[in-house]
Amino acid sequence: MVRVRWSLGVLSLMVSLRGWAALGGNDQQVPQEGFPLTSYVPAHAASASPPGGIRQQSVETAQHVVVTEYSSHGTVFALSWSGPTLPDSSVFLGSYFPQYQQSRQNQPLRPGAYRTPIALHTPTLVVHTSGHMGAYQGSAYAPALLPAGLDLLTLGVAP
Amino acid sequence: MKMLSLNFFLRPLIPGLFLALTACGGGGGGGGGAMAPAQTCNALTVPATSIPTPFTASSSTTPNQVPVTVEQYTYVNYPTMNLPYVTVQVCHGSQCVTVDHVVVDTGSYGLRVRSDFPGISGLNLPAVTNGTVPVMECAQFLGGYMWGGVYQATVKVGGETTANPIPIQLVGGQNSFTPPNSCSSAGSNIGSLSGIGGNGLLGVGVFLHDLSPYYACATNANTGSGNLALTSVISNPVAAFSSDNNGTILTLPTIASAGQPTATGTLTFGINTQTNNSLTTSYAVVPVPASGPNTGNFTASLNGQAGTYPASFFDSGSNLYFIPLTGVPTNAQGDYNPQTLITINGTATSFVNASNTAPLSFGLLDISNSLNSGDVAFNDSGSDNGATAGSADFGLPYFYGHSVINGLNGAQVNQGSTLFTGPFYAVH
Repeated sequence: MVRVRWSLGVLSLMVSLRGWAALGGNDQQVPQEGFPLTSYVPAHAASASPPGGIRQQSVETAQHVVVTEYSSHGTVFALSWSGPTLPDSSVFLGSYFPQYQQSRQNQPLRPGAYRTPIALHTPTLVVHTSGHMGAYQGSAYAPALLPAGLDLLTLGVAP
Repeated sequence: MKMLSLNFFLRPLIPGLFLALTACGGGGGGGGGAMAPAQTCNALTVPATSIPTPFTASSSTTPNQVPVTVEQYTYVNYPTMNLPYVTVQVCHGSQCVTVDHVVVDTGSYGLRVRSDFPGISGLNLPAVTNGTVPVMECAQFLGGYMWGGVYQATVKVGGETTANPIPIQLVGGQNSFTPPNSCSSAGSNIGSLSGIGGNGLLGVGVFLHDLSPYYACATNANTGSGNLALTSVISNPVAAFSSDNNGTILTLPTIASAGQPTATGTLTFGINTQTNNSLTTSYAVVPVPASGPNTGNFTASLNGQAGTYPASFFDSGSNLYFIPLTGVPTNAQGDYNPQTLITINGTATSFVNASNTAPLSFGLLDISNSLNSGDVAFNDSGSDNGATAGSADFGLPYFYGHSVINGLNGAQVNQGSTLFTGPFYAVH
């Protein structure tokens, strides 16, 4: 992955010009992250832009989490992330966040298993998160928004 | 239910909190009906990684072992499984509080204690501040977050004592600011007796610092912002010990496949510092990256399973194997439930040096009947529930019948004539 860094002043301009969206959003939107974004890799700079008209762009949060969004026809259908901590899912899951929260709460508590990975499969949202403090990774996608015939694993998104 | 001491409430921990109780809203992320004080929490910037100067630990005669028990802790109101407990002491000067049933977690870094543990508030631990504003931390775990203030405390475990006070986290309690959305979006607040499954979490993994999000919170406009130095972030007590400060060895006994009511093992501090912590050639050493996407991980390959697991690690704080497998039956919850013991063998390969490998072997067996019988210690328990492709989480079941070394980031330790520099795992 190509990592492009700008000074903060230039960066904020770049972000607002190029756009960054949450899951299900238009890929020209800019979410308000709880932390400033410290880098931004627009689609044309990504080293391995996936084929099939899929647009891929990444940001790095101030907490050093790199989040990559995948969009088709302007709509973000999947995300992947990795970093020393977790991204703010209330930002990156966008309108899917309430549903994510609800689904997490509906999962039965497993005895003493609170610090364990997450694999959430619902008809409208799939989220995976794994790792340990210092090295987390995860992905999310909205099944209804997937382009036909796409192999998610080629994007690094867990099916 | 334990009573909170009066002192807990009177403690002037957060100036302005009582005044702010007349205000409402602005807390965010909470709910639950209580009026939250108006507050602002600004994110503080912490370094992306901490790169320590390589160091060598001196030889020592300090008592360096503490018993580890896997048992049902009476005060946890649900049946636990595979939670390894030690006792630690939290001190302010000469005044100490003994905290029992603290979970040993090699998957995190730093000590967290529930703030409502009896006596903790009475220690009046000095708060870590950003300017004059107390620093709050959001320790993020997969299942949720622990929110609480950062305090300076001297930490004692077994015979070991931190040379100086170190930043620890006091989680939960009534005196905290409401976690901002960027924290609470991580899931449930698990900074409690039930969330932890104990009175605290002792993070003794391979890294020195917890670089989770930190915040400067206040009930007025002067919240502050800026950078938080590594000396102010929650840190691994082992690295701060006066002796035996280059790593740990967690050893649990071999137990029955069907599970046991309890198991007792040992947490040993130091590597090659005493006769009881030698890095002998019986250990397979697997150095792990200190930064980048493979931080703290190795690649696992498992016989009979296609592909590899590049995001793999040992974690005493995961209470099952969380490894996605094909061809192993699961129950409705996604837990592996073969009716006869299945053994899976494989290899752990270092990202740092591919010639450093360790054999992996683990069993899987349906443990539902044993779980119902009240057993707590299980060595053959695994789940596909939560498992993510490419990630093999070797949780506490792996530790039974093994010794697992966590060599700290920067620690230089010889195995015979071969010098290893942490972070590394070593297993036998």
